[in-house]
Amino acid sequence: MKTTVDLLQIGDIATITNVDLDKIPLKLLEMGCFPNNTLEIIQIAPLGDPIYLNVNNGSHLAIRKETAREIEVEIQQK
Amino acid sequence: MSIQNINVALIGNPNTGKTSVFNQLTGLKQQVGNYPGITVEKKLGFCKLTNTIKANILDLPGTYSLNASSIDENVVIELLLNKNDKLFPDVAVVITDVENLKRNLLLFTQIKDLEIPTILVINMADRMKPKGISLDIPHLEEQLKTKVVLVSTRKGFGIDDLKNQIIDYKSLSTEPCMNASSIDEEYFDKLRKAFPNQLLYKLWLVITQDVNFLNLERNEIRNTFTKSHSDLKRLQQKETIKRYQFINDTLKIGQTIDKTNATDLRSKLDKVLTHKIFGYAIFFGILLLIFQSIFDWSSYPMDFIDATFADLANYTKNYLPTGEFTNLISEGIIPGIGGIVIFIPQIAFLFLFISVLEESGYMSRVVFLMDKIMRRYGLSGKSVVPLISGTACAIPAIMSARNIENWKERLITILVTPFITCSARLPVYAILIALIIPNNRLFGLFSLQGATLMILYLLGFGMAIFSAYILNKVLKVKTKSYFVVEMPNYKLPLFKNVAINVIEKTKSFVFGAGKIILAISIILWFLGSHGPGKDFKNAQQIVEKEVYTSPLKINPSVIPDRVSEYKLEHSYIGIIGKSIEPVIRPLGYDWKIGIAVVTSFAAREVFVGTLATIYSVGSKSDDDLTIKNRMESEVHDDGTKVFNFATGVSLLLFYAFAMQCASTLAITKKETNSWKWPMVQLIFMSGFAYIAALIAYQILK
Amino acid sequence: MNTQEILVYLTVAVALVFIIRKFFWKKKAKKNCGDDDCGCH
Repeated sequence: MKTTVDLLQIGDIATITNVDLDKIPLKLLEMGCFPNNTLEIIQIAPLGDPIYLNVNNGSHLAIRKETAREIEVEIQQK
Repeated sequence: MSIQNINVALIGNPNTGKTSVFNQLTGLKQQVGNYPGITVEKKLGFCKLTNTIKANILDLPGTYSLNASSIDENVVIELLLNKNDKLFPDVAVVITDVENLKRNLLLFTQIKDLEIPTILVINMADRMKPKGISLDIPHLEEQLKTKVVLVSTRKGFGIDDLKNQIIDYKSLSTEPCMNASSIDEEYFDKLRKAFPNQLLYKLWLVITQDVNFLNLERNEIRNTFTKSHSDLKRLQQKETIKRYQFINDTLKIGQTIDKTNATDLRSKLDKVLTHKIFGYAIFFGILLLIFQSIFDWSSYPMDFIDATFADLANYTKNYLPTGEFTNLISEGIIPGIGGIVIFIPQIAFLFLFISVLEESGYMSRVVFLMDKIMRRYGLSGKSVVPLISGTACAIPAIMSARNIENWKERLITILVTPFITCSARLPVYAILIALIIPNNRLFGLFSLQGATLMILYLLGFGMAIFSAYILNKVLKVKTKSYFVVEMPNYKLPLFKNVAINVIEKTKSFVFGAGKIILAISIILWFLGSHGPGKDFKNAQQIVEKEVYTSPLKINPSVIPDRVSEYKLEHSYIGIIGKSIEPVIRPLGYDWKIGIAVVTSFAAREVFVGTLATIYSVGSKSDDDLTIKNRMESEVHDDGTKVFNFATGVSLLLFYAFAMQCASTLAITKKETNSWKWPMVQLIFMSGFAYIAALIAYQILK
Repeated sequence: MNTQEILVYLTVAVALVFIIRKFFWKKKAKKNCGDDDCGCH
């Protein structure tokens, strides 16, 4: 199922299909956030934002919803 | 026998234990300074490798890649691009975390492209077993064209191997480990042909980065080879993916991870520490602990320091030959130094907590928890770090706002941080509270004085949040907003790292602010004990005449005190004080307080020292009185107390809000690169302080 | 003027020079972040 990262639930694992290069900081790419890599939602902060991810099997980082919206993914399993 | 010097640069992602390696290599042989013109901390250390070979080790700021997104990261690129820099590395040591090898190697491949001899340190190697990681070192060395050193600063192995490898740096290959230019052959071929003498990757960095490197040439390169912003970014993405492909291929054989052996402390701790209730509860618990240490625990060493310096001043007065210089030592210099030393316990406690929180990886969780809440006020989750550090000192706090990516959030954080009650306000608060608030307990439990202090802290914090909210509405700054924060592994902080950090920070605070405070106390003492004209010179005769000719029978024993008073009033400082009196009278201050308030604009903590100097110059008897007793016994001409409740509250409010720290203004100027913002701080904060103090005094008097 | 006074004037002079240098002889910053997007924040 295709969706964007901001809509995922805690525990979801997904494959990145597309990122909007003009809206995503380069730093995020360098942390492994680019097509064909997997990401896992580890935690969502109490007020629904930011989102805590494990990208590319080992890069742990938190991003805001507005950035998460620009990352398209395909959910692997629930 | 000549001594050979090797320049070594430590480079690595944040949270890879780079600083631990640095500390292990250099011990306490470190120099902390600034890069010229910018406030990025420059840490240089020294290490004797053999009897004839010494290493200058430079700890560069942590960076994720050579694509800079902050001034700290720019420093790394500028050094690596500039072969003429006297610190240009003979050998680069790239530090990586064994648990995060994939991402950490990205930076390594970039450094290799610069054709600098490079050693790869895989740090935290003690974690391999518990995490089920095994490495094929020969394969990694072959693929990455480098030497790999396994290091654990925690268990203390690998450092000697690293030293030997540094000695042997000439044997390292300088060949890049991959070819990044294949992402756009045509473009890079043209570039290569145009600048055959320059390294291709260097040219590419100059095109994509905003760095200071051979300015003329940069313009030339840029004009011919410029591409649109999004084209460049597309190429950078391609480059990144290409590098990751290479790393993945290398690690496929070079690294195996057996997940069944892995214990997962991280996710368990994360569940608790970022929990929607426990997470906040733990955070506020830690904050309480920090405040407890500043208010309570540090009071014991502080009382001791206070008493010691009072004794010392007395001792010098009694045992040195009498004269002007002895007076300067006992009334100017010793109280001046005492006023600096007394801060050490509080500063040390604060830096201790902050470095433990940072080292352990907990700070990132706080950032994560607080981001949404802080954003409501135009701040970022990352503003939590400056706001907490601000309780120690606004200067390092404002510098730590640097990792906030969003310019508007960063600017607001910089602007409101000085409202946070810093440790320099503490002695002012402490002495005023002791003077005007009775030492009672509320419900037999809370000390009334303690509660007042708490209220003042909350007032500062509330004001910071409130002004952030206003600024967020008022400021029209166009900004590209994004927020990426790494959530590092939890680590038990290393004692050595924390200790070195606390010592370094405390030292730089004491010597930085300390010199200013000392110089001001010397000048103040001079201005208070010298004066122009006949009134000052002939004080003795004038007062004597007044006393003996007075119709009231005045006891001649008051003469020495009266003379000192008279002298002070007609000294340089007295003249300055009297001239500003009309402005501060409505706030309930006399000219002596006025002087203290004015000198506080150099640094707040000068307040107590100034009053101490003024009052000790102004009294010849009762030399063993503490400053508090002196303030208590100060009376106006009509016999009412100077430090009454209304004046006290007015002073407390003034100090809570006023922008009174020249060093903070200087750092704001540096960080925002404009005089506009420090001026906004100065005028807005001090204006608000004046009005608040005025209202308070007029109501309470 | 006796020795002690000379020492006082010397110390005060040193303190004055230090303060003036500290606050008025600021070296110019080479390069830093501004409000615009210069790529360093």
